[in-house]
Amino acid sequence: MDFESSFEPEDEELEDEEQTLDAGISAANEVVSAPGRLVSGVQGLLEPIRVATAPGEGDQEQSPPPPTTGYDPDQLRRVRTLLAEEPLIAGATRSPSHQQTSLWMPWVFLLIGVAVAVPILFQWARPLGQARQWPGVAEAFSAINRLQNGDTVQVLWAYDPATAGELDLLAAPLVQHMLDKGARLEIISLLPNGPATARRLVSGVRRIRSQEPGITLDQSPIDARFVPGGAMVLPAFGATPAALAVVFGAQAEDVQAWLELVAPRNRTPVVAVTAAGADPVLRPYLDSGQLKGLVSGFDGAASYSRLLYATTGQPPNQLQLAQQLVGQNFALIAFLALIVTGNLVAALTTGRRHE
Amino acid sequence: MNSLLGQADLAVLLGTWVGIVVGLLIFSAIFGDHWLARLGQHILVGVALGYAAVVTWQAMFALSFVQGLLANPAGDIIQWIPIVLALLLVIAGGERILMQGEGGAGSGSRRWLRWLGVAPAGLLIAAGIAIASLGVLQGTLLPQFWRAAQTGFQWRAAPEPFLTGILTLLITVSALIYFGVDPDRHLSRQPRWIASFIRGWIWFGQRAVWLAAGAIFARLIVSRSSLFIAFVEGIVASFMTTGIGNTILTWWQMITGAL
Amino acid sequence: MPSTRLSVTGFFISLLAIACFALLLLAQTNAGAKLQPATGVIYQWLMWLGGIALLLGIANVAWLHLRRIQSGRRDWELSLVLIAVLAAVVVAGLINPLGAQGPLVEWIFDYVLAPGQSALFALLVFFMAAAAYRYLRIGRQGGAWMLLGALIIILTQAPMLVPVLPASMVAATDWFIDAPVMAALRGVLLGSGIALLVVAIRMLIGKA
Repeated sequence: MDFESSFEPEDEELEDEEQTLDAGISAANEVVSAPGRLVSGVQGLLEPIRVATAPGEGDQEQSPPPPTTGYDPDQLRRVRTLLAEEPLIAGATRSPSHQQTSLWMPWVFLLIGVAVAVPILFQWARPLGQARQWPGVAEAFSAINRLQNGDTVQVLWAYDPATAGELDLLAAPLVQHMLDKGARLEIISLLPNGPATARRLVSGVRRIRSQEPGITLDQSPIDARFVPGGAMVLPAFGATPAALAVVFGAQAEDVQAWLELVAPRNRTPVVAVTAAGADPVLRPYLDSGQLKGLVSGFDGAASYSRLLYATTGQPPNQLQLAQQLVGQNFALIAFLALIVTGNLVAALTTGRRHE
Repeated sequence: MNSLLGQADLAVLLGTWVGIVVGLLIFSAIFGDHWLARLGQHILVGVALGYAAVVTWQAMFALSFVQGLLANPAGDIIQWIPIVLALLLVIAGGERILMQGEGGAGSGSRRWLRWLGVAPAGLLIAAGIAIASLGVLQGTLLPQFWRAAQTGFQWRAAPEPFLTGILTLLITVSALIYFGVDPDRHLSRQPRWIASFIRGWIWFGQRAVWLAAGAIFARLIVSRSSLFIAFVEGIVASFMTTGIGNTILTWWQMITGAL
Repeated sequence: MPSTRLSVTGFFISLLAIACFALLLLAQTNAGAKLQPATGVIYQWLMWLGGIALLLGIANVAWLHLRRIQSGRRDWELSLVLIAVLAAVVVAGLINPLGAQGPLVEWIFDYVLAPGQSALFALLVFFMAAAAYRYLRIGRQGGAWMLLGALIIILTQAPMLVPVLPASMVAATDWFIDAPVMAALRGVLLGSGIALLVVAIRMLIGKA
């Protein structure tokens, strides 16, 4: 459960950096002994590779550089500046704790936290804007709209509470659409927590819909079950004929697994409903026709709800969608600010070195 | 009835507080690695594993062949095979679990115990290889190669889709070459012009993949932001349920003059 | 036996894998429709063995923590909490005929598991932010291209910008995601697919 370790640099990258560090140190030693060849000998031979944080970025620069060599510090500093974006500490080895905290940036965390949390805490309603409808949403809507009363829909529920914050937004309008069409959902999940997540969402949709006048939905027990064995056992569900298959997946791999292991067997059209990050990876499958529709992210949820409620009014999760839109606006502004600042810092530090 | 309802309310209230505390403990990892965050993580892992064990146990006993065996153990002898395989897996796996970190792994009896696991593990590996290979072949390689070829050669298309098709094919091929060809290993013995040509493809493919990585990164930003927004919403909603949230809201409205 | 164990095991697995491959392929054809009950049985067995493997994995984690408690290593008390919670959930699930749908386990799911998991994944946005600050830089290798790709999508997916975006820009972004990005990722999919096949073949012939 070490979150930071998953963001650590790859071993190879670290090895490269270690080698670069060693090469830098040895080159520095050579250079110090022969000052005349300093610049010409180093430039072009060693690619400047970042081995630590740049000044002003983290806590590294706050600690004083340990005096570890007997060389003239100023001379050494100039050499190091030529070798990398930041002064290398010759003879000093980087501690593992420094590597682990490479993405530990409190001011960045604070900025994002404030940018997203404050509008929600104070329930700001603006700026709202409008969700972008990406290609694939209208196709998914059409595929579900073609369902007939009593049709069987195979559902792979490939998300759990970890990603429900995003996926529930997407699943709610699609499940409602399928239930409205009178489809029978056969839900399976490869995640132990999947069926419980599915049952909560489906029963929530049923409850909300049943409060609306003139709506009668099937109230039979929800058919959702966990299948142990992982993706390897998915082909077992290819023997079952169905009118449509819908994959609610937090990752592209879940949709890929269905397209590779089940769809070729029962030839059932597939609609993918995924987290936004999985969207680009699944575009080739949409282009090849293996996916009949693709809905992803908060914008996919909002555009699908817009299509579903084009004639009937506001979607039941309107408040959540509005909060997502406002929160996303602030989050994206914060991310843009971070990207611009990062580039400015890089440009300024590089410029200062050239001077 | 009233007492039952009261218990349900109490369970919800207690649950709401437990949810808030556990959520905040885990989220406190944002301030670094500390004891409270680790406590939250250990509670979560314990609950997740326990829940997974219960769900898995239920799912295994719901399998039709297990139900068949429970109803009539002498009915179909073939159906005992997976039970035997499971037993072998448990013996071999149990030996590894219980004896890990201890010496004497090469001793005769322990080697025999491990050897027992070969049949079930071999079946899992073999089936995994077969299913994954067949899947990737029929679900990704063949349809995607076919579609790539189709988009690249739309001879009767209008100029715009025709050019897009050609570009699409070029990018696909260059990205594939970038992934498949290691210049140092594969091009060192090639004639210079071939090496230069392939290097050009790799250069192009690398840039296309970087561009696509940027697009994925941008979509991941909204994905992760959605999760954080939902988490904050959830915490706020939970506080409101406890009544404390409403009190704070009232105070806030009094302070700001909104009340 | 031990001296020939590896080769015998490898041969056994290869043979089994080839047989599975042939069986699955045949079962998908019209001619092999009669084989579908057999493949159905195999999948049931795999589900069963997969479940056993999962339970063994859980037992392994539990055992590691038990040993940590026994040896009194650092944070042993946290291991004790983990074991206590795990045991409580298992007992609550097994003594109730409804299993995971029993009221106590449902309560645990709603008020411990769900908020805990959602809190864990809510942290990811902060590391995305740190990565955006540190890695989406023009000076880094590939940084300019990644930045370009990211900016095109960020600017066109921001809800407040969507209403003011010119139609041509929307069309251009649709083209961007459906042509160059899609094509590059198709190359990646094909590359990874081929790599998987190569690894599978290498495993079958005992070279991996």
